[in-house]
Amino acid sequence: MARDPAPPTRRDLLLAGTAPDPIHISSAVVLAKPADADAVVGRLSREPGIEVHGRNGPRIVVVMEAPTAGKLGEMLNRMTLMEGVISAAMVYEQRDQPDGAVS
Amino acid sequence: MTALSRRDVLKAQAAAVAAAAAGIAGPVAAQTVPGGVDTLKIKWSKAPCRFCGTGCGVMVGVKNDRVVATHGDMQADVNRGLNCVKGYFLSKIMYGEDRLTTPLLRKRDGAYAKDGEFEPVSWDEAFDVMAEQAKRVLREKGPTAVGMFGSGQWTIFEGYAATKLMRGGFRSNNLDPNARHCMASAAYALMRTFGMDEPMGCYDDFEHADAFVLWGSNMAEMHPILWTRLADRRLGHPHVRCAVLSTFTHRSMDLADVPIVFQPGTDLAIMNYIARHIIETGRANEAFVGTHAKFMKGTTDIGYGLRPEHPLETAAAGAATAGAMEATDFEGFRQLVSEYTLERVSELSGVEPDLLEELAEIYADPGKKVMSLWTMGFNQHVRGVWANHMIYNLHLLTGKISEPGNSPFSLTGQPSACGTAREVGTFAHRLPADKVVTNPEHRRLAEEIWQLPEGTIPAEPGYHAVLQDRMLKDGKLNFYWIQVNNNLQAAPNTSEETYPGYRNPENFIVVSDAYPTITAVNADLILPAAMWVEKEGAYGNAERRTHVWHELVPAPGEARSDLWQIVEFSKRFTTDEVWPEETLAANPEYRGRTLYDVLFRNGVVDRFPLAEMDPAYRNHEAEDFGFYLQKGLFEEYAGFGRGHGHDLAPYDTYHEVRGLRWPVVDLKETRWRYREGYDPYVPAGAGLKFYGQPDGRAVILAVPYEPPAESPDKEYDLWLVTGRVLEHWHSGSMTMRVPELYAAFPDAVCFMNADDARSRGLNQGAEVRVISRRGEVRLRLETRGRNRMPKGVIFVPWFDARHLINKVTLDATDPISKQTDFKKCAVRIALA
Repeated sequence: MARDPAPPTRRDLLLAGTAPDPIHISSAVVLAKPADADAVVGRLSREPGIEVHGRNGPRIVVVMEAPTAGKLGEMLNRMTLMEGVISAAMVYEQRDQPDGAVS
Repeated sequence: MTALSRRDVLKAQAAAVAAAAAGIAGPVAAQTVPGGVDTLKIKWSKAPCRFCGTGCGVMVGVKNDRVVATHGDMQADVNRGLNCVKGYFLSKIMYGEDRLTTPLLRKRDGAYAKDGEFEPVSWDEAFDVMAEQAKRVLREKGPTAVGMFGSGQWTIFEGYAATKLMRGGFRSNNLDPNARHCMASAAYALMRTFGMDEPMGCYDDFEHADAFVLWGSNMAEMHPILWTRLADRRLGHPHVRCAVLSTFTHRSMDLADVPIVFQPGTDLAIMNYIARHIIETGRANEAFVGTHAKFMKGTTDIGYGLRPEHPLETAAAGAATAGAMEATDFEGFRQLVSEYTLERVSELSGVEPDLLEELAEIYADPGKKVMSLWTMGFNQHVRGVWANHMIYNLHLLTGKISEPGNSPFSLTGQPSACGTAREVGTFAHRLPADKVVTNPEHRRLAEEIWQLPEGTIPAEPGYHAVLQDRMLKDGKLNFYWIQVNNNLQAAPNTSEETYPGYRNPENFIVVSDAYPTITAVNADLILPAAMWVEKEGAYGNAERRTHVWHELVPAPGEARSDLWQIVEFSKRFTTDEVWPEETLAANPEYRGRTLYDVLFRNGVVDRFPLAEMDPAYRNHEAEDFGFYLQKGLFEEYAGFGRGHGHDLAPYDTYHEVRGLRWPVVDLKETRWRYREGYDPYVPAGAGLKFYGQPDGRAVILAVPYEPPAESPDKEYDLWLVTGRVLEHWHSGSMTMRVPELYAAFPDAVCFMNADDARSRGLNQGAEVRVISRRGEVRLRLETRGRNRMPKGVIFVPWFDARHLINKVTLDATDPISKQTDFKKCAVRIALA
């Protein structure tokens, strides 16, 4: 159930072309208890900064966005401790700097 | 690109990589960054993670000499593209605001003073004072008064250089790693059972087992990537079962088909019950046992590794011969375990009989392949060596060992606890490749490889970790160098037994670290250390995998790697200053040479020129000394194990691969040792051979349940168990510097059963005093958290230096392995 990238938010539009705050992008694979997987997708979707991008049975692909890498870590911990979740593993992390260059 | 489109590109890239890691094909996985990641102008290189012992591969992205991105390495067998939460902090741990960048020496009026204040000094001044202090101590008291405390986070080169400098240079075996606190019990039991250290199986067992048994391990929080592999197997194959044993309910219990909470220390009785069940139900594999095992009986009543004058030690009849084993037979073993009936063990352990039987059947059923997993629960145990033996007993009795899925597997907590502490041999009694200082042939071999005069390496084992602290306090160990660990926080009973030694006026304490830990700020000299990818390194993980990385970024300021520090320091000593006259008289060619010349410019360590390095990477150590130091050290070290079952590949190979599991023969790694077809050391036709033992037979050890050193009583009525939490790694010296992690779990708390709290009139969130016979600490009470405590047991994590639970713990150790029991002592609780 891959879905299209989220539509631009008001914040995106306001900041497009200006110098935004640095953001950190990350992705993770969440493993849910099979019986709870639908509920976990729901819980994840309601978390600010987390987008569900795909699913293979109990394996759920999420993309996260946060102002710092540490915040991403805190979000991953929150997912790990979420009801119905067996494990949450990060796959990718990158910082997008405000000077316009991806770094 | 605009910020908006860049963000979308990044998100698509992130989703694609994660989808690939999750095994999802299709539209998501098809999305990639236009032009590939090269367009992002980041240089990507491989490295192992620098946290736990799992040994995950990470890809490290560097731009402008700074780590800017990381992701799980898809090519790494261990983690296949995944990283746990610690992966986020790899790119942050090097950039804490209080990073140490210059040596700091306690001074008053321009000169070193033990009671002075820290002042920045040059490396020259730091080493001048340090060498002067070392020489003073060597002159006045000899080699037994100098010591070094290292780490399972040392690179292989660092541990190897340290063991050469201490044993071959200073002629002292007072070298021990913090891994003593971590898995000494596992190492001792493997040596005693199989004659060779480290597991026979590997992580591939996760995909082959029919059942997993976690003995005390909370893998869900402490080894998340291996937990993911275990969970994938459990969820993907309906017949697979998972048993989780612990002294309290934690996250790993969520996946447990057989959840067991037992009374602290009674795991010993449970394992003897399982052995009894296997035998009494006729499921002992007699053919296997008859060919591949032998029965031994251990000394009993062996004490608790406390100071010898402690009443518990003087009362222990077997304390002096704690490690002795004598031959017995199957009948002798059967008789010992026959006392461990279901009824008795259920009563002792507090576990329902049905659950015990279900657990026993996992081992007894000949059709079930079992992987047993453990870490600190077994190892930090006053009978930790026995506990490890007992798990091998179960696998040997049933023949469930050394083949895919049948695997007693000791997990580790540090990235090179195996590679450096155990394989290099930085324990007080060990030499490289399972050799020991007490064996004259082993010493001679080391002296030959190191090109040292015969008799250089002392035969007496040095002080182990807890003994080092006692000897510092007693003024018998006076020059002490600590690298890559935070021992003042990690050591047990620290106010009474550790701190006094650091501030003892007779002692000079040096701490090499990246951050001002409580250990560092209580030292006399602090040396700023380079960390992780600021240097070329090599780690060895829990499955015998050796993994090498390049230096990827420069260290800040004057920070230097521990390797550079050891080798540079060796230049300040000549043999005349540190070796006895008779050695020099018999070997005049060594006279007047520096330890640097003798140990590191010996024609072997310095034989690879700088031209052999990969020109794409810096290597500050090699550039400084003028030769490819790491390769030279590795190749000399590899000489200990090649042809002896510890074979390592040529050094350069490791820069190309994601690690290889030793023994590596003809560039082929070994996944299952002792098994024909997998292990090249097993002779054709043998099928299986425990070749580490001269008779090819592994030991099944008959030992009883014995109680912990201290149990709750009327006055101190609760068990205290210590350990970790998801957010913080070990003493928190890295993770507490990540603001969001700090905010998520800023202070240690006391996890307690809600009824226990109510009956004491204590409320959730109350500030309480946790008090033992040694000391006390103030903590907030947590009755609702992720750890659910049974009545009578509290859990406190040890990451928090400001609320330091190790003021409360007891310095009891396993008498054989000398590893501390951080899991069992008696405390009481009062409202603060």
